Amino acid sequence: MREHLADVPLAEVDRVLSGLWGRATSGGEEGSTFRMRGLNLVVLCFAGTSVEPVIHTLRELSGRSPARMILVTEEAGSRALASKGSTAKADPPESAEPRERTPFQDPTDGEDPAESRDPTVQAHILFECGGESTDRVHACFELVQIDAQRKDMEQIEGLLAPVLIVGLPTVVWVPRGDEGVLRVLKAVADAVDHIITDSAGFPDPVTGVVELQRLTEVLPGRVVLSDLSWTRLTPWREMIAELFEVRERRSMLGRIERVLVTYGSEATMPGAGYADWRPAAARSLLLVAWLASRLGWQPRPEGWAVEGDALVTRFDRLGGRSDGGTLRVELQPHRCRPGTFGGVESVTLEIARSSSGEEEAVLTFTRSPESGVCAARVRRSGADDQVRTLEVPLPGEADLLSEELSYHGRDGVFREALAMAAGLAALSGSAGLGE
Amino acid sequence: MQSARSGDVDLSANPLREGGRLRPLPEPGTMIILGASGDLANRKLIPSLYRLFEAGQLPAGFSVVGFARREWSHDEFRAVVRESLDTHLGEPVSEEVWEGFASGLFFCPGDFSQRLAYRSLQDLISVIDRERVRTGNRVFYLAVPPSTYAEVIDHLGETGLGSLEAMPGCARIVVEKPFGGDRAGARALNRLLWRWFREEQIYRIDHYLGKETVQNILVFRLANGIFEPVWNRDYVDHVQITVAEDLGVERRGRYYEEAGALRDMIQNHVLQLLALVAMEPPAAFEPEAVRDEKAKVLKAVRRFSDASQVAEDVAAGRYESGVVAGRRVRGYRQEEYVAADSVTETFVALRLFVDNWRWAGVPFYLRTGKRLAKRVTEIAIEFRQPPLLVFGSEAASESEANVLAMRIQPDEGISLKFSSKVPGPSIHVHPVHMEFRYGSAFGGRSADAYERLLLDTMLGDATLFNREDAVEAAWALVDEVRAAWTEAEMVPEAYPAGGWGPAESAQLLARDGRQWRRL
Repeated sequence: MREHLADVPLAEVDRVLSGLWGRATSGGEEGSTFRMRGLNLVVLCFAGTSVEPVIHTLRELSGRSPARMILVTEEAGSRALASKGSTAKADPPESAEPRERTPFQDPTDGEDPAESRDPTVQAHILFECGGESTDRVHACFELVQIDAQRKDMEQIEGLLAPVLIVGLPTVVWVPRGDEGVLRVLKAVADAVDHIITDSAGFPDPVTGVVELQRLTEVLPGRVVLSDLSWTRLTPWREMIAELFEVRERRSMLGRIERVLVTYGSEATMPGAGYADWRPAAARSLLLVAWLASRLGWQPRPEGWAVEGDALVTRFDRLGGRSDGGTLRVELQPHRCRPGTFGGVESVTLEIARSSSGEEEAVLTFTRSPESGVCAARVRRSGADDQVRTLEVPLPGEADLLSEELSYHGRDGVFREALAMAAGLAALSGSAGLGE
Repeated sequence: MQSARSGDVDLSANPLREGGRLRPLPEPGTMIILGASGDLANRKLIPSLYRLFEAGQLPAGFSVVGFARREWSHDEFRAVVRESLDTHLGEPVSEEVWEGFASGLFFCPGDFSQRLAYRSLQDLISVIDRERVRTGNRVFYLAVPPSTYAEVIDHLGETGLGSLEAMPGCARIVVEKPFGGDRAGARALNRLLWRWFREEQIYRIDHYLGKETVQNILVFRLANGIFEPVWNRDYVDHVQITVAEDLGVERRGRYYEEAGALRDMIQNHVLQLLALVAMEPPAAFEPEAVRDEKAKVLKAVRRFSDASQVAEDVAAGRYESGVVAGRRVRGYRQEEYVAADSVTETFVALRLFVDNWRWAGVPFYLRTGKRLAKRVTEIAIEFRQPPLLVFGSEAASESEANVLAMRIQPDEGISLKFSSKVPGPSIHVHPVHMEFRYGSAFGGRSADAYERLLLDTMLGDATLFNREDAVEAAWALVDEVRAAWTEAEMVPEAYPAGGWGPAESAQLLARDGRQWRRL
């Protein structure tokens, strides 16, 4: 079953969708079956964001995280739904009364006549059940698309109240940011439970990391903040953490004297086949910040310096079982050929000889951009001591969103890493990270 | 544990694994599959280990040693494993993943009864540990016939392979069901295990407990505020647990003739489901806390006073020829390795009571059988009717009890039946269903039960494994039934394949004014 309805009054969206669900249920009796929708997923697409890949991602996601999906597109001109296939007008409302309840016509909202909205603001509905478009037979995909002005996006409750499912958490996803994204996110924070961003989709991803840190400082404590750039690091963090599961190897964590991260370009929406390649400096920064925040490294005040292709900074190793001293961190861009997935390509940890005679070692973690095969090596005394290979498929946007939606708690490790990354980005010489 | 601000890092735990987002990963170790050429290893264990490896949930250096009578080299064993994966994995094997997985596969030929073979096994484990694993950790999985348990366990013990003192690292042993053939057998097996292993080293596996939906029983009960308050005798009328199979005994006739449905299913899977439904909330979701509560419930199941009580509360059946899913099938007595005059039960239904404050007086109806109408496992909680129906006699007659059904397999999910007004000018009540289906709500593939349990074994988490007191309590109940049947020379009532068991099963509930759910 596939239905595409155009120009549905906002107040009628819920009624129209209920009718579609009723038709989709096996018995055909409206109300006899309730289909699972665990959340309202509101996607804010700012002007310039290509909508087709976003819809592709949402369709894929619907098989894993059933949700009422609401796509809010800034301005007209990006009506992906209207441009696809045949469309039908929605059934006329049974009564004209619902239209009068749209938020745009609230008489108490009339202090500024310039804020008066068009009472005919309408939505487009895409409804699909079964078929190839969903992962599971029983999963249905419902998408409501609304065109809105930027200032309407900042009033998400007023804009979307008629179409949100009451009682379910509201998650906002911003696939790509622009210079005004934080203003919008701050404005909507009180009305949402979870904000998912992607610093890689910001005009300047490194600045995006800093801005996200600022956002955490003003968000209500109950609001969860996610960054898909952080989510993309999960396989790296698992692979690195794994080597230190062995207790005898854990003492190396206190003797790391050099960290080298090489990175290429990353696509902001790789799973959707949408290529917008950017240097993965922000993700590399987050990875280093994660290590630093977990291991108690303090950045030295000298900041970043350019050495060849790399940006270099230093940390103090403090406390615990570390033997003090400093360590050097290098972020090295790798000029990979266009179209090749890059992101973080390798992480090298050089371990110093301990004062008690434990030998030095080099731990290397690599990921082949072409095959996705990750390898971890421990080199001691000039020989490979341990080799680990693992196939890590490139996660699509829907995979990343699904992972974030399945994790409901606040991610304290991310918050600490983000704060550290923002601090590193604020050091002198960090401008080179964005280049 | 650590504070980034102060830089006070404690390395006794892995600081890079903090935060709960990263999946738990066991320390490197070696899994030794005793009976590596058998069906369980090929169909379940090897594919599960491969999937764990593919998903990155096994640590670097993780190794598998197959131990069996076959004279295979390491490479021949790898070829057998590859063939097994190609047949049973259900998806193509990635060559790159296989390369890594295969490099950790080894084989040790040996006769389970020969002590010398265990010396060879010990030597191989030591070499692998020196070259790959480096922790000394090892898990012995008994994928061998129960009749060989005793000699295998003794040899493992005598050679020090199971010892925490004689060899470095930790050693664990996984014992498959059936855990003994009766209570005395279970006790004897426990005593044998305790001779060489500490209780915390022993993992009595029941793969049912590894199913996501079985684990969800506790989450559903204890992570939602609205269900536990009505989860008791004040609100629950009765509980039905059904574990139905549409298959017959297939090629397991020889085993089944000995076991029967009572010992094959009730003693373990079905009573485990009962324990999860009826147990008190544990103080924490930790192995001993959970297992304490499960054991308490099984010990609180009312024992049968005598043979006549068994006759009243237990129904047994044996399938005859019939039609299952449109296919004509033969009767049990015509199956391979089954005696023509067999009196083994292929169906059993019981009415049990849990004598504690929460459940006093609430019947638990249990049924399991082969060659039933379809394959389905379900737990249904039927609630009491409201004390007064105010919508008139007609509406009252239309009203049905609320039923909360937890579907374990297939179509895993939960449904709630409740009454609703039929639209119209008069009050008519009609039952409607609210459904939650795992398949719709969560994407991705759920881990197979063996994947979960194998991983837990390596992580040292025994929460989903049986403890000796629960096993013995379950056997005590089953033994009483079997003793009564022997005394009465019970002959199971025949039922046609493709139905829902013998008439006696329906009567078990009809006597109480109830009926089995139509599934």
